[in-house]
Amino acid sequence: MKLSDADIIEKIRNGDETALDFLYKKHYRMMVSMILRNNGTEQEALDIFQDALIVFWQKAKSDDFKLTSKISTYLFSVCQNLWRKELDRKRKFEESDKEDSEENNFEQQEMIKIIHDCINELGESCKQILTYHYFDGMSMEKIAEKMGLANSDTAKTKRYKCKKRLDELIRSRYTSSDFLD
Amino acid sequence: MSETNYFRLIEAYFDGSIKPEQKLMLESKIETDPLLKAEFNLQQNIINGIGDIRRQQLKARLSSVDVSGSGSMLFGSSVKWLAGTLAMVTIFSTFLYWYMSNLEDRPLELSAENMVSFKEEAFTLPIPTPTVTSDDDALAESTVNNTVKKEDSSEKFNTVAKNVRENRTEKSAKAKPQELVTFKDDINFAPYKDKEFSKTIERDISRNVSAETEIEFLSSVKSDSYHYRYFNNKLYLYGEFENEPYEIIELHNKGHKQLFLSYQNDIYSIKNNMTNITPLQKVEDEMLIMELKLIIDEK
Repeated sequence: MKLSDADIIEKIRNGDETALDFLYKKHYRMMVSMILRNNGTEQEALDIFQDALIVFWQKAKSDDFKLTSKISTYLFSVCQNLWRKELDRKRKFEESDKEDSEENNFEQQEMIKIIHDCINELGESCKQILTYHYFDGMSMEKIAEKMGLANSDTAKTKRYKCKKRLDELIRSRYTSSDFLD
Repeated sequence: MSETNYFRLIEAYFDGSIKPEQKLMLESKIETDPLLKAEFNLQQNIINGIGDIRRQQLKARLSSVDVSGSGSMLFGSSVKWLAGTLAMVTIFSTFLYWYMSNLEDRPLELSAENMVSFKEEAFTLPIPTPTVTSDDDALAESTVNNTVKKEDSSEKFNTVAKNVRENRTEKSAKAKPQELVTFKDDINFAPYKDKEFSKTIERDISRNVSAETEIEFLSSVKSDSYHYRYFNNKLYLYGEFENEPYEIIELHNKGHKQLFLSYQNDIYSIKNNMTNITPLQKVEDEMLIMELKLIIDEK
């Protein structure tokens, strides 16, 4: 399958995830090699490349996104930047007070875990609609089309109910006082 | 504004539907109201959590993509090109070897038309012929000898030949490569295997400075242009290469090699067995350029 850069952007804007598969396969070796050559492990390289693709996925969906270079060049730069940030984060972590940061991290991790658990307890369609709306930034029309809902109003109502259900689930496990600590 | 309305503003904030003045109002209220701040932080974490779940979904999808084809350089577009070039070079080398073996017994047959064509070019573009010192340069030597013999028949030609010889003496400068990056990376062309990938890359970047390829500089055929000839491990570069450092990248694959020249932010491919003066062709494949620049940056 051959796709031009414009075809790929079009697919991404339509929420077609096969565009990601295509880019992943096409640029895998190149991007991963770059991380490996710069002291990264194989797992780190995979993570960074996948994160870079997801950054691109989100950016390309935006209406004001304009590609000024080839997608490969763009991805390469994102990978480089993400890897630099990761190296910086590792260096700072090594220099910081590990005990203190681990304690703070633990509290944050606990909160994140509760939120993740609650999201996963929602039905699949709720998870889909919330992720499409809050992460992919899809319009209600597009969500309705993608999920086979009657119209954008139906999608809007469903999104509202799902978010309300999620908030309630999280609040039932984590009181306000916990957040204020 | 009531507290409930502020909560709605928080929702609008994460929806992206909040107006700029409402955003300012919310931000200033958050600074003074701990409960609102806690709610804002909670909503922020929920939105981040939704993002995390989506990221995990997309990453799981990507992890299941079969990359064995793309992992192997054999299937990459740049390598397809390289493999094709190597195949062509091999065929051409075989033909050239056979041709040169026969060449020792019989002189080159140059037609009068060819001679005139050379004469015209020589007047307008003084082509310096490289100094041929090695016995291995049979083709180059015989070409020069034959050309000179033919020139004897014309007085004008004698003058031109003299000029060419003078140019050759004055402008030719023999030099070793500044740095020759050699990749002994047969494994680089083998299909990708997960666990061996790190090792592959380590071997991938190993390199040696090789002195096998000899480089000779000659004055340019045309102004502001770069030409070359390359055969028998000798590279003749025509052009002004004094301005910036150049680099030669040598890729090896199963006994064959492919040279690239990096000069002034451009990368040119150098084909083997090019006995005629040929314009340097810029590499256009962006992925190949990136790969080569990575190799160059490794130094």
